[in-house]
Amino acid sequence: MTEAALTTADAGSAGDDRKAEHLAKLARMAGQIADFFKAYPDAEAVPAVADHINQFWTGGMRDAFIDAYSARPEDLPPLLRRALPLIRPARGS
Amino acid sequence: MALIKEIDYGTPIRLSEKTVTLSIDGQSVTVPAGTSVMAAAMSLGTKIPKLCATDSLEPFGSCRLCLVEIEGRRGTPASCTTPAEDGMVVRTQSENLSGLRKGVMELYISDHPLDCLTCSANGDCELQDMAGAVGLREVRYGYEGENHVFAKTADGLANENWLAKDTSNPYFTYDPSKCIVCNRCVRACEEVQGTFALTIAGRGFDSRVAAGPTDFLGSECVSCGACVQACPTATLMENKVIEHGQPEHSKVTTCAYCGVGCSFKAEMQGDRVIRMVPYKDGKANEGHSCVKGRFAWGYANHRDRMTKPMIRARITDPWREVSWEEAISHAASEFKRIQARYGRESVGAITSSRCTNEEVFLVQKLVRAAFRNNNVDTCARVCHSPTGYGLKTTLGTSAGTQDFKSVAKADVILIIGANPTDGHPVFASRMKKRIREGARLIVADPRRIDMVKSPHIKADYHLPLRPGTNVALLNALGHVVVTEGLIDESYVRERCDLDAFEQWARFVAREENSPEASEQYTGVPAADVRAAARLYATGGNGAIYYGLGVTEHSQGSTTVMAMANLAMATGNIGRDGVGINPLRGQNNVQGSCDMGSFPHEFSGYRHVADDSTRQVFEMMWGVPLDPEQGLRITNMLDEAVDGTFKGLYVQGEDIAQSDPNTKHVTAGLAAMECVVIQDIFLNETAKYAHVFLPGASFLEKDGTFTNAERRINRVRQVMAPLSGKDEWQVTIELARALGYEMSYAHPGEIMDEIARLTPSFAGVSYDKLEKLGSVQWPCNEKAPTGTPLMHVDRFVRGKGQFMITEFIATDERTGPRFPLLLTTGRILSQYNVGAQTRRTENGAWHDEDVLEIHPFDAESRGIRDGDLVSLASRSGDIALRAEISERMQPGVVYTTFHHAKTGANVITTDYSDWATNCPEYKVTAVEVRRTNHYSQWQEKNFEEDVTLRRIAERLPDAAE
Ligand code: SF4
Ligand code: SF4
Ligand code: SF4
Ligand code: FES
Repeated sequence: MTEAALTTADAGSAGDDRKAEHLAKLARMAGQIADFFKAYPDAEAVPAVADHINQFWTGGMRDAFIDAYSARPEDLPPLLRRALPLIRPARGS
Repeated sequence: MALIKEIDYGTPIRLSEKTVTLSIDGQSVTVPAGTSVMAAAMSLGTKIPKLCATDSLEPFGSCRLCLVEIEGRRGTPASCTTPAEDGMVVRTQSENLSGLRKGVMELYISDHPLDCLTCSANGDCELQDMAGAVGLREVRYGYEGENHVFAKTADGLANENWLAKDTSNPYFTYDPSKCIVCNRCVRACEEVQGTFALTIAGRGFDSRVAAGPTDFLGSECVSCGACVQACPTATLMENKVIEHGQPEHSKVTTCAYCGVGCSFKAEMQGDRVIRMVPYKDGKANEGHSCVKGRFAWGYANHRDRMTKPMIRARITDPWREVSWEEAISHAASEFKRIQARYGRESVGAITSSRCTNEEVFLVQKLVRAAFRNNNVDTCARVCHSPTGYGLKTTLGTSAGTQDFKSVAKADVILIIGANPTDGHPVFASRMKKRIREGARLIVADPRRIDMVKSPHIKADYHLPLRPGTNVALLNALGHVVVTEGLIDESYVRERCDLDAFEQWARFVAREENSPEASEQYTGVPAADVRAAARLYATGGNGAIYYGLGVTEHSQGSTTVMAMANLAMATGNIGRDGVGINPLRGQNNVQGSCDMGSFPHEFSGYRHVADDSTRQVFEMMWGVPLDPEQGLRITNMLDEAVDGTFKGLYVQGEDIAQSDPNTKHVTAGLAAMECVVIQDIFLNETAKYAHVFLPGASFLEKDGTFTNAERRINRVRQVMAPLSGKDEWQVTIELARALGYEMSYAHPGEIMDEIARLTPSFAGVSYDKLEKLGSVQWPCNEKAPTGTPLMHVDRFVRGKGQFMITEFIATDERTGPRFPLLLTTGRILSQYNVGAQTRRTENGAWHDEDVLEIHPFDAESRGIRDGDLVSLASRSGDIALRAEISERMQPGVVYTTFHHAKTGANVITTDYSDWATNCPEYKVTAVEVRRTNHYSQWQEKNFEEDVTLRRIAERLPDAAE
């Protein structure tokens, strides 16, 4: 079951707040990863960021991140924006 | 089973390529050059009488009991101080010698109490043995003369020579009336422990052992026990032996505290432990110990031990004691219900670094094969996960490069963010020994830790950096190495990836990484950084030792990689005396990582998405496995608060106390529907639990621990589990109740499965451990007896990989509201969350967490030593006592998290390492004020200590 499917059950603003907080955390983590690799040239950095996320984040976390930011990539720092398409959705979703 | 007794050769075993051959009592013997006549005789099985000599200490030559005759030499030299020489002809027995020895013994005994029958050393006294060995039958001097034995003289006056017993140390007693002034204790404290707490005061007949300035507890003594072991008489004696008498059998096992992994003989009477004595053949400690392993094991029988399974529906209900069957089937049905309702991913487990490899392996197997997800993580997440990531990326393996012994070959020791004398005391003793022999020392630490300056130790450079600036400092060191031409070029060319090296060298050479530029962040004078870099790069074998002060930062993994860069650039990896070595916190934190406790890795650090590895596991375990990595602890808690993660099996961990940002942790736990705790105590996390499964202490376990040098040591059961069940058995039963069959008759069979599934463990078996004592992984066909040094001819990953390590300041910043930086750590006598050590006499040294603060910061806030102060961060606030300390630098305060009631982790934030989510314990912006009351959180916690720990039909004080 994906993150999104579950949290819809949590109607009301408390659920929305929690969801927003959770997303903010994911964005912060992704930002930190991008910060490390930004010292590298783009050709190495972009796949490295995506690869790190693909290796260590659960499918649910990746899906939540992709769902939220595909629509508004401009909210992400540039390197992360370029890595976004390389982030793998959860298997089977 | 008998008492294990190591052979005492009398003087240290020398290593030498040259040998000498001599004749002793007509028998010929060949020994390494430098061996004493005494040790040479012992290697033939000939015990020359001795009192002041023992092979853990350099010979001293004071008792004159070990005299021998040597052909062609005048007189009767002492065999302990005489080196064996080629062609020597030695006699250890003759009329003359026997007369001389009797005379010596007579003198000793004339000033020694004759209460052998009631003496605590009866049965284990070298003085008694020697009196027997030399055939002492009478004491011509009589016992009435001047003596140290009697409190009163014959005419009833007070005897000025007599001293009362010193019982200040909670674990051993000093009875001066029995002292023969052999000096062994003084030398043990100097040579073995390196503390220099003891001296011989006075001269001649007046000379006495003294723990200055007052008594043992009031002295520098750290209660390591080395002097007690060394003492040949009852003068220094364990209180347990005084109380219960001599042990009658023993088994070798491994300390369950820190990552040094010391071997001990558990000396027993029946199933009662009398004492733990460090084992001389233990490779990690070679006969030494610290106060925790040696003395602080009484928690195993503490009245707080929980021995019955319990369940409850809500955490506010009282616990109900139930049968094992009921507890396990209840836990299983809850997990099944939760997975059915919220999905397969909604449950997980946390494995423990305090449990054995075998127990950990089973818990992660349960998660992967019975829960059928990969939501398993371990407490290494919050300590050394960056070590795994950083070393694997650069060198190819997730562990330290050396064995502990290697430090004896180091020429320059660089300690970063570790406090070995408190955290890893037995290793610190080895390190100090090497430093006394002349190795140079650089300490990078915000605090002036003991290694910076203590008796006979002085760091060449102390780099007191601001917390959170490790990367800036390491880049500055790298900058000096590159720009001043100190690179070991042939090493780099031969062994490292050259493109990556050049990329790194260009990066680190940039002006912004120079010591001068980074001084603004680190606060360390550039000149010191330059000098330290030159020393490390050119001073011979450079060895890096580091601890949680490196890993527990937003840039923890970056720092580990920066250290690897520095070591590779200077050619300091791949031989004896060099390397990069994490000082691992908990006894089995290395092992729990090796065993596949991380959500993305099977045992042996292989990613779950790797099809070929997964297929091997699927075949062996007979179920399809999830190719998606699971949740880390932090993610589990986030998702619990978010409402999607609902059930957790916690093996021997106390995340409610040990993990950062307590309020977030407890909110996560409180949001779960089923929390199962397997532990020996009703810990903080258990307040939020629904099922309690009583665990076993290390004395009740069979298994293995893997220490910080990758050494797999056996843990042996010396008493039956108090709960009636082995922990691994409980995990098996839980798996079965979940519908997944596991069956093992003995932990040795679990190890066999680990060996079959894990290439780096392929050659490990209990048989081999029995034969060799211990092995260091990798242990396989290529290295059947294990691997003390890694990366010897090439790096495990092939070419060493330099990484660009840009300094990025943490988001945790000081400001007007929180102007100080808090950093956290530990102290010698307490261990981690203190669940064990708090339940021993170790409170004599540390009975509460205090806040160390620099006099300057204290004064500007009107804080005096001992004041109750409030410590607040954006996460929360607590109150604790202040201790004014010059060890701190202005602007930085320090505390420990050993005591649950303090709640130090209420303060720490949920910031974490970018690569591994290892929490940033070491940097929190705080403010400190005087206060006169405990914080709201603490008050609530005091209350919950009772309300969330009630057990039906028991009085509330049964818990903590
Ligand atoms: S217990 Fe250790 S530190 Fe204390 S006096 Fe003895 S040897 Fe020294
Ligand atoms: S206390 Fe023991 S070891 Fe120390 S001098 Fe006296 S007899 Fe020797
Ligand atoms: S706590 Fe560490 S140093 Fe002390 S005895 Fe145990 S393993 Fe050894
Ligand atoms: S044992 Fe040699 S002088 Fe004491």
